[in-house]
Amino acid sequence: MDSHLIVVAVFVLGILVGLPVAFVLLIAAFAGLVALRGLPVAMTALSHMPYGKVTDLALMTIPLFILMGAFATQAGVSASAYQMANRFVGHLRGGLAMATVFACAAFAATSGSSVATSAAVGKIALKEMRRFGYDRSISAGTIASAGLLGIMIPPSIMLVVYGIITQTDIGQLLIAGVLPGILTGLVFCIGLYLLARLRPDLMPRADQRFSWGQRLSGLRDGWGVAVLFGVIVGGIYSGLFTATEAAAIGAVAAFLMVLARHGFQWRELLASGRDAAGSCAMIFLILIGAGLLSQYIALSGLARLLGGIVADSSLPAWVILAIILAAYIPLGMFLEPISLCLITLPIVFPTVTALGYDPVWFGIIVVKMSELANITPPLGVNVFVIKAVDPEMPISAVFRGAGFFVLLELVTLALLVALPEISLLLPQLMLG
Amino acid sequence: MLDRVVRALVEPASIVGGIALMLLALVVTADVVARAAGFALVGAAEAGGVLLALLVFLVIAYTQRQRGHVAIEALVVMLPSVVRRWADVISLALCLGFTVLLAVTTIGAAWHSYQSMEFQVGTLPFPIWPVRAVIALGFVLFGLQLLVHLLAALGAAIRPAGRGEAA
Amino acid sequence: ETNLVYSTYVSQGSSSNLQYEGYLDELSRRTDGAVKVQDKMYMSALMKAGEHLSGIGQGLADVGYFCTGYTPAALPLTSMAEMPYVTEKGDAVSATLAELYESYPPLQKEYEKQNVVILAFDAPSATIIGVDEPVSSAADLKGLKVRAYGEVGNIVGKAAGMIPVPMSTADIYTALQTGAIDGYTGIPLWMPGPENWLPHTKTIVAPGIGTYYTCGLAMNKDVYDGLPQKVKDEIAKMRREFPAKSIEYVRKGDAATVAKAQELGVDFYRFTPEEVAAWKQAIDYEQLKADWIESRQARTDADVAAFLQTYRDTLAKHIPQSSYEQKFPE
Ligand code: NA
Ligand code: NA
Repeated sequence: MDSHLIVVAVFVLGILVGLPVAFVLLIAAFAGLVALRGLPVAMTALSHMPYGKVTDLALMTIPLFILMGAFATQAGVSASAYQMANRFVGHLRGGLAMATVFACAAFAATSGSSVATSAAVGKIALKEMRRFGYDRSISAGTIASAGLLGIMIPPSIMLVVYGIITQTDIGQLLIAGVLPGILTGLVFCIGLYLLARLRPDLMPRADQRFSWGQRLSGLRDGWGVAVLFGVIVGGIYSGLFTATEAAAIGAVAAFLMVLARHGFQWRELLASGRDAAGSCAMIFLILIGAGLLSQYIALSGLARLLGGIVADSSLPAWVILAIILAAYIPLGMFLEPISLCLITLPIVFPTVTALGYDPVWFGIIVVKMSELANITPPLGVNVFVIKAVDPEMPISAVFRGAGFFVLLELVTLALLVALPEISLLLPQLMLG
Repeated sequence: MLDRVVRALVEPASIVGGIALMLLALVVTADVVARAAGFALVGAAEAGGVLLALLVFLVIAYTQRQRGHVAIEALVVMLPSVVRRWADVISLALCLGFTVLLAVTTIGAAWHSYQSMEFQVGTLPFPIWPVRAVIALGFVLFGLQLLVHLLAALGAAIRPAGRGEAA
Repeated sequence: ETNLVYSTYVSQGSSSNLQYEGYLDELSRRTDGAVKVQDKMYMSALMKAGEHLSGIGQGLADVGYFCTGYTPAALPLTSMAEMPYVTEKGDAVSATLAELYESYPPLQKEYEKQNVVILAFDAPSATIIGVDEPVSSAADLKGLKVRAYGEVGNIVGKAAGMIPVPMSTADIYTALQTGAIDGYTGIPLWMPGPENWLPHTKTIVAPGIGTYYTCGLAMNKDVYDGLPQKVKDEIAKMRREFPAKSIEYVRKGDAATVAKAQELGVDFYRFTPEEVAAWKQAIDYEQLKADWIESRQARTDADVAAFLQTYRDTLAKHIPQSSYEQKFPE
C-alpha cells in the first residue's frame, strides 16, 4: 500500500507545480514501480514502453485522422459543411452542437475508437462551432464526448476486447451497442438543448431563419465532407480497406481537396504535417505515461483488492454492482479504457455473472464506464485529442466542458442499469 | 547560443517528422491500392511502424519548443507570480531529469537491439534497432530543448524583470 | 512460500492459457503451496507479446507465456524448431525441446542469457488456412487475401499466389467481417472456434505445412534459483510430462472447433500429397533451410546446423510415440 501513497503524492505535487500530464503519469508510475518491484524492473519497463506504443498499429489512426482534419480545414470543406448545417439547425438552441453529436454518431458507425472519432471530427468541428459564437468549453466538451460514441456504436474496439476477455459473443455485443449508442446521443442532445435554454450565451442561435429553398440550395456546400465521409464509409463497408487504413485514405482524399482548391503549396503542406505530428507527439508521450501507469496498477494488486471486497460479502447483488461501478470511476480517471478492462474484468466479470447479471448487458455497462474514463481528469485521452487539434485551448477548459457531459453520461448509465432491455432488445431479436 | 544550436537541430527534425506523417498516409494508401489491384506491397506494414516512430519522436522536442506538452494549469495559475516562476523551474527540472532517464534507458535498448540483431518477423525480417534509435534520438533532442527552457526559466526566476527576454 | 505474478498476452479462455494455468495450479498442488500465483494478467494487460521473454527475465513478471516468433533473435536455436514441413505432431516437437533443454547445454544457455528458466514447452499445432470461399483444390486459394505472418506468410504468398496481410490475431474478426481479408493462416485448428471466426469461414484447409511455432512457460531465473530443491525437482519432472498434457488441450480444442464448424456448415479440405509437394517445391525448401541456418548462425555462438541435426534426430525418436493427428471430418 505504501506504493499507492507515493504515486498519489507524485500526482498531487506534479499537478501543483504544473508538470505536463505525460510526466505526471511517467514519474508517478515509475516511482510506484520502483517501490513495488525495484529500480531495475522499473528501468526495464521504462525502456520498453515508448517502443511498445509507437509500434501499436491501432494507434496509427490518431495521427492520420488529425492530418485528415488539418487538410479538410485547409481545403475549407469543414467551414462549408458547418455553413450548411447552420442553415438547417442554426436557429435551434444548441443546434450546431447537436449537429456535431450527429456527425460523431455517423462517424462512429465507421470507427471503432472514440479517440479516432474525436480526432477525425475535432479539427473540423471545433473551429466552426467557435466561429458561430459557441463557448469554447462547450464546443470542446461536445467533441470530446460525442467522440465517445465511437466505442458504443458498432464497430467498437472496446466491445471486441470485452468479448475476447470474457468469452461473450462479439456479434451480440456489437448489436447490443446500437440502442445505447443512440440513447447516449439523444441524452447529449437533450442536455445541450436544456443547457442552451438555461445559458443562451453559451450557444447563441443564428439571428436568421433560412427558408427551405436556401437550405436546399446550400446543400452543395456539404459536398466536401460528404465525399470524405462517403469514401471512408464506402471503403470500409465494401471491404476495400480496414478502419485503420481508412484514416490514411481520408487524409489523402482531404489532401487532394486542398490541391484542388489551392494548388500545390510546399510551405503549407510541410506546416500541416509538422503541426499534426506535433500534436501526436504530445498524445503519444501521454499514452506512454498511461501505459507505464497501467503496468503499475496491474502489478499493485488493486484489482485483486477490488475482487476481494465484492467476492466475500453477503451484500445484495445490486449493492455489489454499485460498488463495482463506483470503483470504475476513480480507476477510469487514471487508466485508459482498454487497460481498465484488461486489468479489472478477469476479476470483476466472474463476480458479476455469478450474481446473475447478463454478460452482454454488462459489456454495454463496461463500455459506458470506459467512455467516462476517456473524459475524466487527469487522464482523459479524448480531452487531450481536443487539445491536440487546438493547441491554444487551455486543457482545464476542455475538462470543464467535458464535465457537463460526465453528468449526462451518468444519466445514461442510470437508464442503462435500470432498463437492461435497452441493451438486450436487439441481441434477443437477433437470436429470434 | 545553446538555444540556437538546439533550434538548428529541433526544427529540421520536426520537418522530417511531419514528412514522415504524410508518407505514412501515402504508404498505407499505396498498400490498399496494391491489394485492390491483386498484389501485396511487401514491407508496407513494417515501413508504417518506422514512419510512426519518426513522426512522433522527431517532433517531440519541437512540441516542447512550442510548449505543447499539455499540463493541467488550473492550480498553477492561482499561485502568486513569484511562486509560479519557481514552480516552472521545478517542473522543467523534473521533466529534464526524467527525460535524461528516458534517453538513457532507450539508448540502452537501442544498443542492445543493435548488438543482438533483433528483428521483427513480418513478411520481411525487418531490423528493429533503427526504430529504437529514433526513439532514443527523440528523447535526446527533447532533453536538450528542456535544458534550454530550464535555463530560461531559471533566469526568469532569479531576475524576474528579465523574464520577457528569456522566452 | 513464493507468490508469483503471471503474465500472458493471450486471452484467459484460450487453450494456450488454460493449459498453463492448469500447469501452475498443479505445481502449486504438488509442492503443497510452496509456489503460488497471486496475480494473473491476461491479454497483454501487463506486457505486449514481444516483451514477455525479456520482461520475465528482467522481473516485470515472475512467470509467463512466451512465443519464440515474437523475439526470434533472442532464441536462435529454439526458432529452428519452427521450420515448416517437418511434422504435425506437436507433442513430439515439445517433447524434443524439453529433452534437449536438459541434454543439450547450448539450448539451455540461450535461455540463461535471457535470465529465464523454461518450465514447459507446449505442443504446437499445424497451421490451417481458413477462407471465406469454397475450396476444392490448392488452385482455388490463388489471389485470396489472408492474414499471415512470418514464414507461413511467405509460403502462401510464393507458393499459392495468396496475398498475405500481416495483422495481429485480435484484428482478424473485424477484418473478416468487413471483408478486408478473405481468410487467415498461421493459425492452429483450435483457434477459429473460440475466436468466433467461423461465421466468416466457408472452408478450413489443411495445407500440410506442419507446425510453425514454439511457445512455452518461462520463469524468471532469480525467482527459480530461490526455490527449494524439491520444487525444482518437481518442475523438471513436470517439464517432461507436459507435452502429453498439452496435446490433450490441442485435441480437445481441435474437436471443439471442428464441431462448431460442422454446425455452421463449414467445409474441410485437405491438400493431396501432390499439392503439398508442389508448394514445398515452389518455395525451394533447401534454400529456405540454408537461409534459416544462416540468419540464426549470425546470432549465436552455438553451431546451428549441428543443433538442427540433433533436433531432427531426437524428433524422429519422439514422433512414433505420438498418436496425434489433426482430425478433419470425413
Ligand atoms: Na464505432
Ligand atoms: Na480518465
